[in-house]
Amino acid sequence: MKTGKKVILIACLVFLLCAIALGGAVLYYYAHPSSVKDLVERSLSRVTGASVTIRSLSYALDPLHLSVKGITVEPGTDMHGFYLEAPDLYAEFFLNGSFGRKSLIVKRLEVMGISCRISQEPSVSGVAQGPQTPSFFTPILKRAFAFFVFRDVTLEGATLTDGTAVVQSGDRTLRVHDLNGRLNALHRVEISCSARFEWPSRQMLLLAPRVRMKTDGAISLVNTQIGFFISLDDVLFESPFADLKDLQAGARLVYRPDRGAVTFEDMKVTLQEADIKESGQKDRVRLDLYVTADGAFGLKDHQVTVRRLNLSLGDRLKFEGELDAAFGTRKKMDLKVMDCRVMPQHLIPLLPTGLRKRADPVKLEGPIHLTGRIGGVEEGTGWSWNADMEARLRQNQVSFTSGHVRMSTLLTGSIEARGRVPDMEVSTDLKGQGVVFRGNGIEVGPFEAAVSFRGRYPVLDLKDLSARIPSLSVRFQDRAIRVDDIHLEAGKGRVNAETRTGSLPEIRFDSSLLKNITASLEAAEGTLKVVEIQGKETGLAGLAMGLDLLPSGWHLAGRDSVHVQVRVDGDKGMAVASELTFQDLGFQNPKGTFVGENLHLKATVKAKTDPSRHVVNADISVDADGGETLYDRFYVNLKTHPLASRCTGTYNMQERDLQLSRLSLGLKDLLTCEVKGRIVERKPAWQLDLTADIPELPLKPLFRFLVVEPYQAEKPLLGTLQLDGAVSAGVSVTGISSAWTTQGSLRWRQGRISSEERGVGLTGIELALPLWVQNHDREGAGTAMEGGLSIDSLRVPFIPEQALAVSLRAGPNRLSVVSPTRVKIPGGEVRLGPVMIDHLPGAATVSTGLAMDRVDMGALLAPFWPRSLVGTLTGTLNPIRVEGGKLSSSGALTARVFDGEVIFSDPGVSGLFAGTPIFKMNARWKDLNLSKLTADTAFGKIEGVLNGYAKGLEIAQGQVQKFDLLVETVKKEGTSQRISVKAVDNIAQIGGGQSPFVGMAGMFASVFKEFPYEKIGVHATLENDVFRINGTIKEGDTEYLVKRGLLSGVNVVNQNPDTRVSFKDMIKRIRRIKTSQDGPVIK
Amino acid sequence: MMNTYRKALWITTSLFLSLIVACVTINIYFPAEKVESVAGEIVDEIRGQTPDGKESLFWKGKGLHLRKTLMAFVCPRAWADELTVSNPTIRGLKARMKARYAQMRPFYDQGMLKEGNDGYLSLGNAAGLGLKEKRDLNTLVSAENSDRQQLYLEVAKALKIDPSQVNRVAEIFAKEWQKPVR
Repeated sequence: MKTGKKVILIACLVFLLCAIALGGAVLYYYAHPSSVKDLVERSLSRVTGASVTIRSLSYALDPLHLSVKGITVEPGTDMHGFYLEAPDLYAEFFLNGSFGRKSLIVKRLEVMGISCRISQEPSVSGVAQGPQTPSFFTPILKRAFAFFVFRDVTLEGATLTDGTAVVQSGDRTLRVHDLNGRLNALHRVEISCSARFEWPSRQMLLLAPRVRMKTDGAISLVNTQIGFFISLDDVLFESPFADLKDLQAGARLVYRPDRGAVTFEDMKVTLQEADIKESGQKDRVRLDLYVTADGAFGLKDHQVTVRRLNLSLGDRLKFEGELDAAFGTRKKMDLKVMDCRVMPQHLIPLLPTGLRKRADPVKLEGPIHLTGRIGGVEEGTGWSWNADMEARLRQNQVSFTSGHVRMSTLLTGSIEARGRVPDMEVSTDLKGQGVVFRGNGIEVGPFEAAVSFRGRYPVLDLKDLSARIPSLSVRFQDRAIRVDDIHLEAGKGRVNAETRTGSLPEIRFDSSLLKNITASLEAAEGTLKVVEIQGKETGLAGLAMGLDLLPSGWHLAGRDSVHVQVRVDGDKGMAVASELTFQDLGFQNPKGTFVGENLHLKATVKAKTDPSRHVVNADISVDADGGETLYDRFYVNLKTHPLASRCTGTYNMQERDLQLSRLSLGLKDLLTCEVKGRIVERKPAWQLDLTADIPELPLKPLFRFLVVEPYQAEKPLLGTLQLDGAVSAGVSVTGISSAWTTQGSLRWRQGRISSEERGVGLTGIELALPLWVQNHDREGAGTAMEGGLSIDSLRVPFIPEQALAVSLRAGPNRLSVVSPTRVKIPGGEVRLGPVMIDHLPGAATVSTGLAMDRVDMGALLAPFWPRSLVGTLTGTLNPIRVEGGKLSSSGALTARVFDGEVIFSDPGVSGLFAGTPIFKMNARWKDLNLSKLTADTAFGKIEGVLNGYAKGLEIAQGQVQKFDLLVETVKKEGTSQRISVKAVDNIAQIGGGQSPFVGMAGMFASVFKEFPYEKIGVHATLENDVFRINGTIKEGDTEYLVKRGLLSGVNVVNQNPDTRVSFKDMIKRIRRIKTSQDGPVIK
Repeated sequence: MMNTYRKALWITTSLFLSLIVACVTINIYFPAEKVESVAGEIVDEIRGQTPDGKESLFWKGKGLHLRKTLMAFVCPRAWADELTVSNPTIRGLKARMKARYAQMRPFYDQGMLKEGNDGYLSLGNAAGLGLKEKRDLNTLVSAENSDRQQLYLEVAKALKIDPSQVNRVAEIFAKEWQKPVR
């Protein structure tokens, strides 16, 4: 026997034995159903890895059916948390087909009340973990089984009723209820259920009350590809952010075991409305969500591939793209955005109320197109994202509105972001056209602006920022200020979006008002930290005029240099340091009374705010060390007398309280003043509490600066005055701005006044001048302020040198010398005062009085009266008032001379401070002894008694200007009345301009020395340089100046009663009398 | 007929009364011509047209016959009165103004001083001056105006013009001041 035959024989024997064994086994299990149950339990337990138990199992062969009750699958060693219970399962079968090609037809399969519970991370062996490598006998057995028993199984009818399933993972629970399934006559499976997904920790709930699945073909064990359509209706989703209702979803799913994947086609998700939640409030919005997608889900690698994903939210958003995602051990996602058209403004209503309100001021109209790719991979530390996205804007209308502020522009450009999120390479190029800004009194535009950023997020570098603004209008204090040709440019800068820091080191700014400005900005933690502005020849002067910061009509020009630095230190406040210098600064007020030229001025400000106390501490200094200034009449050469001023103080913004620690103002070598104190705003006035001190300084330069130089042209006398000594002052100002009081004192030590030209000299002056000035009528609560003046040596013309000491007292707007002051004069003394100076400091009035008693007139008039004079002067002038440039007095001084008296009354001066003061006086005389009066005078002797007056006597420029004079002799018993020839001649010459003693009259007169007379009477007036002389003795038409005696004498007749003589002629006539020592020439 | 007469009577009466009322005129004494002549004389004297210390032609009665004749027609009785506008104050003022004029003359020539219509002097375009010179010029102007004010008062007083009319005096003087500086 050949070997081949032997093999065949042995195989047949083996096959026969197997068939016998199989037949025996079949017969055995048919006769012992309990053994079949055990076999099934063991087989299933082994296959599934779970503990499968069956309460009872029964079957029959004719008809072939199977009834299983109480199937329980409990988690085994490798089936964590999987539990299944099928209380009742019934199946009817039959075999169909020829031998070797039979099929098992499941005629009816009924599963009732199946419940499944999966917890933790379930995994079903052989299902979840993919096909295992078949053993050598498996294919043989499969083929043998298919040949002898059946090749496939066909399910013709099946029902599943009242099934439930619970899947639990962590705190996530998915419950499926009312799970019903049916295999219809077309061998298609229909499944319906309701599902509930809960995630308490995220407060999420998903309810799908109607979930339906329907296969589109018979389920075959051989060809296990299953296609089915799934739909979900009326889905409810609740989360803390939004509630979604009536969500519809559906898709055709195909289970492809060959690919180990489920593909889905024509997936559609629709949702009409959603409730957006915020702060317990719900806001219903219309979504119009519509999603369609085609793709596949890999069961092996848990990867989702969406090759077509379209999403739309009405006209708000239209997305077209692809998605690849993996949810296996290495989770990843890749979204390709082929085109995404977003209408940002239309998306606003979908935002929560808070965000919506925050976004409300901004409006971005028109679509933004997004393209690119976003991908993410889950790594050990979380998801890592990469992006390559580009957003494009084209003429999108952007506007910002807040209160009265509105800005709008048409924005065009792109924003690109590439690389790992968040460290992406970002590139931004945006251009604004027709930029318009209005608000806060500013109107700008339309203008164009551009900005470009590059960098790796979060650090972005500014490549270009530019704006060209044709004109800008600013409303400032009810005026419109126009600035043209504004050019703003920044080529460098850096922003860190993460730390919210940034810097713009160089921003260049030019405009028609302000030029050459460079600014830099630094920000940190989202707030501006440092601002620095500097520039040279910026045109600050022009800006000040353009902004009308100067009073109307002022002019200001000069080369400036400015540097301002502002540092913001969050809650600690802000520090400002600035320096402003001017070269060749010139200014002028409209009247030209305040002018500065070629000034070199430097101003620095250092200030710091303390927000917690609402306080600003400032240190301000202004120095000018070059140029000239002129204020009215006061000229300062600042190179010789540099100006230095400094102010340190604190201002409380809440209390409106300014504390001046120190305010010093000084002109070197001239004057320094220091002020301290407090000014508080107490509306509508200011509360003042200030002290000002002028430290001791030499008076000489100050007097020259303040008095001599400004007023010398008008008062040449000032040029002859020399003042020396040291002055100092201290005053306080208290009260409110509408009712303030200034009190203090002015001190003058070791003073001296001299005028050699005028013969004046005052030395050893010690003055403590009390000051009390106020702008209200209330009397001061305090007592009067005391002071004094002492002069060691007072030397003025016509009075003897003497010392002087007076006490001074100050009251409100008043200064007085309380006790009378005795002033020695030749022949006696004058009691002057008390003196009261009121209405200080403006239209001051002086009231005083003067008295003298029996002053020796001989001594008093010695400088003026060449002959010896015996007489006294007594009288009182009270009051004497000086007001409005006039001095007036009441009272009289009586001179007892020449056996009679002369009474001087109402003396006064007008034009007291003018260039030509006029002295006025009235005088009348009585019983003057003419003999004594005319003795030894050039006029010629006259005997008799003289009465008369001089009314309205005015003296100006040392000359008599006006009078109304009457001289008349009166008869007095025991007094002869005789007149010398010379006197007659002089009277005649004064009256007529020529001597009467010519010719025969001269011969006649030469015989006599004197003549008796009846009366002499002359009335003379002087006004406007014209003398009118008349005789007071009239007989008929004859007017006598001198009426002769009864028996003899000479008449001097005024031939021309209306004689007028010019002032100059009269002076000549008087001079002739004065110079003529001889008698009249009688020819 | 009667109505016509009555109407005529009423019209006549009304016209008559109107004429009576219209005849009531108020005369304010203001000797403009005299002020003009005085102003001319004083300004000439200050500006050096009349030798210092010499009497004017008016005073001496020489020359200017035409003016004399005209004045005789204007005020034949007292023409001599009105010509005596002089006193020590006015002379003092004139002397000072004359001295000051010598100082101001260069500034007049350079157009830095302006004669106003109100009879007073003001600073013109003094751009070429330093501030100190400007200050000095200002003080000269101020002193000049102060003297002018007093001068106008004195002239008014001399001519017995009410002080309220001093501004008119000043305005007449202004015309003389404004004549080109010779």
